[in-house]
Amino acid sequence: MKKFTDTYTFIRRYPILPVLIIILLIFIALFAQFVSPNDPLYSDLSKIKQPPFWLEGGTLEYLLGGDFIGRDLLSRIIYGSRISLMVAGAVLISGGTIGTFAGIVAGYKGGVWDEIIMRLVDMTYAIPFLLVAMVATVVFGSSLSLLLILLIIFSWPPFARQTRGLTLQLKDTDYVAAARIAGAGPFRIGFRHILPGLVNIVIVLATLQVGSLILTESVLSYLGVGIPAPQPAWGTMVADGRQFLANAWWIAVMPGMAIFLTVFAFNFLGDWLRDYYDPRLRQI
Amino acid sequence: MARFLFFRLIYIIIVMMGVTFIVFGLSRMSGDPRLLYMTPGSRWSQEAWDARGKDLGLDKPFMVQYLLWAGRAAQGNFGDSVWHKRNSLDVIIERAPATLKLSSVSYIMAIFLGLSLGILSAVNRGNFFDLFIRGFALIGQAAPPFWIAILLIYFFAVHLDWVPTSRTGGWSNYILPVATLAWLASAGIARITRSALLEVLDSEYVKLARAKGVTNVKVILKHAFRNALIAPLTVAAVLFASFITGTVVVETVFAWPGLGRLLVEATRHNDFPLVTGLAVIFSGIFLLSSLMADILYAVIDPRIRIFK
Repeated sequence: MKKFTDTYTFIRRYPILPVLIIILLIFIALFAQFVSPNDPLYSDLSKIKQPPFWLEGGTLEYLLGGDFIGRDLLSRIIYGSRISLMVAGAVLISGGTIGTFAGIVAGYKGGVWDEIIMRLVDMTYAIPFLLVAMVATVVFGSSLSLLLILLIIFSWPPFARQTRGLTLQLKDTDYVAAARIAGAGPFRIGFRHILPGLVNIVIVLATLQVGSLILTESVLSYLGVGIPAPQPAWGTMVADGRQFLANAWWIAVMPGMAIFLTVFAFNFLGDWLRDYYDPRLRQI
Repeated sequence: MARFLFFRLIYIIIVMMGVTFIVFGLSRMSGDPRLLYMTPGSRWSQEAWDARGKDLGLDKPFMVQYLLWAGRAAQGNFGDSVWHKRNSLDVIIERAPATLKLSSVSYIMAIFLGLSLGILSAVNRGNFFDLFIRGFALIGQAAPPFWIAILLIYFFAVHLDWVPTSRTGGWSNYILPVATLAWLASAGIARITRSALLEVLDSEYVKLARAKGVTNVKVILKHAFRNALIAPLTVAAVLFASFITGTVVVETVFAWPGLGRLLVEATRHNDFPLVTGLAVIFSGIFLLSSLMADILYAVIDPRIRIFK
């Protein structure tokens, strides 16, 4: 009995399930060609709208069923995880780096730099992302690189805002003053003395942002302005299945489930990390 | 107050100029705007082509073109829609009521649902009810809007056949779109109301009120809730931004003839004048709503002073 309650408290205290989902996700994304049972682009005409294996008419060959032109849904979902994770990863690495750098400059340099960077942040917050994305897609046509650029432009401001605030605090600490007296230049102080103090908040922010990035990407793909057609993006797959809801619900529901589980796992982990590192950050 | 409003209005104008400049810049990057209306070399003579260029002001420098365009846009003239073959603003005005009805009903529902679920969850902290509401909120924050819409359609329209699957019509057509938008939007409000209320319930003045013998309902609604209201209002105001995204998605899923769907259609048809018109109008609404939110904070929380 004691052992059971111990396990229960362990599960309550640490985000076991979300971490497992995330590990599984990264694994299938990395090894998609080995994990996926079928070719995601090959369509078998005899398996059009085939139900998942537990329903009548389903086979073990297409575990989650076939889509509207007879492609394996499970394999497409597995390959789709690559796109979602790659978009989120690429955007967070570049957006996070730009935002953190801008935040340090704004906080440490202050004055005109602070004013310019923070006004830019305000401006970006004031522009509705979806509209810019749609206008840009009309102009340039939908492509992965356009999507990445747009998401990066709109993902750096939260990093800049949070790291700026913390930099302002760290700037006044004794060890930064000591470094300055010892003759360290602004670059050295910024990277060696302030940046390590920002790592926690950047990690928390990045984890919390993964979910919203994947959601945004899936919404754009659903609306047909995200990732172009042949690639199996989760949002596009749901959009494709919408019209077959009455007789083949799995085409739309399964990829949506993948989005939901992924975002849920990252949000949960992000919340946990935030409370773990600093409960005062609950506002972000 | 007047000073604050003045500076905020100037700020809004600057941001709007930024937005329109980006939009206009993109439109000129997309190539010769004449190509939207006429194909060169076919039945158009060189003279007609040049005349059209002069008409559109293409012989003038870029900045002059922008100012001319912005001047017309300020008067509500974004040019003729390529697809609908008439003034873009007329098309927009025609579609606006459907969106206004849907989003206002959903917004009210979302705030009502979010606040009441948040209160219920905080009051019942730790029991089954709290767990259920927190689950509801977590799903609302993690599920993509189109997926919630599709699940609702599958269960309530296809499977149970209680409500129509899509399009406008009677009041029953509102149920699913409103439920989708309200679920998504109330999730954030419910979570923040819960945590704000829990914090306040722990404070000294609430303990004092309880010690005085004030009833539980009165403590929660009168002493605690009022002070916990600021955080959810922040979210409710920011919500307007996600509402723009939300209506675009929900209108697309439910074939709702409003502005969101118009935007998606215009994007598919490469209807540039219409897209720019919608972008300018949506950004305007977005900025004005954030201004209203700031004023609202000051009214509710006297510690925030904008009335200098």
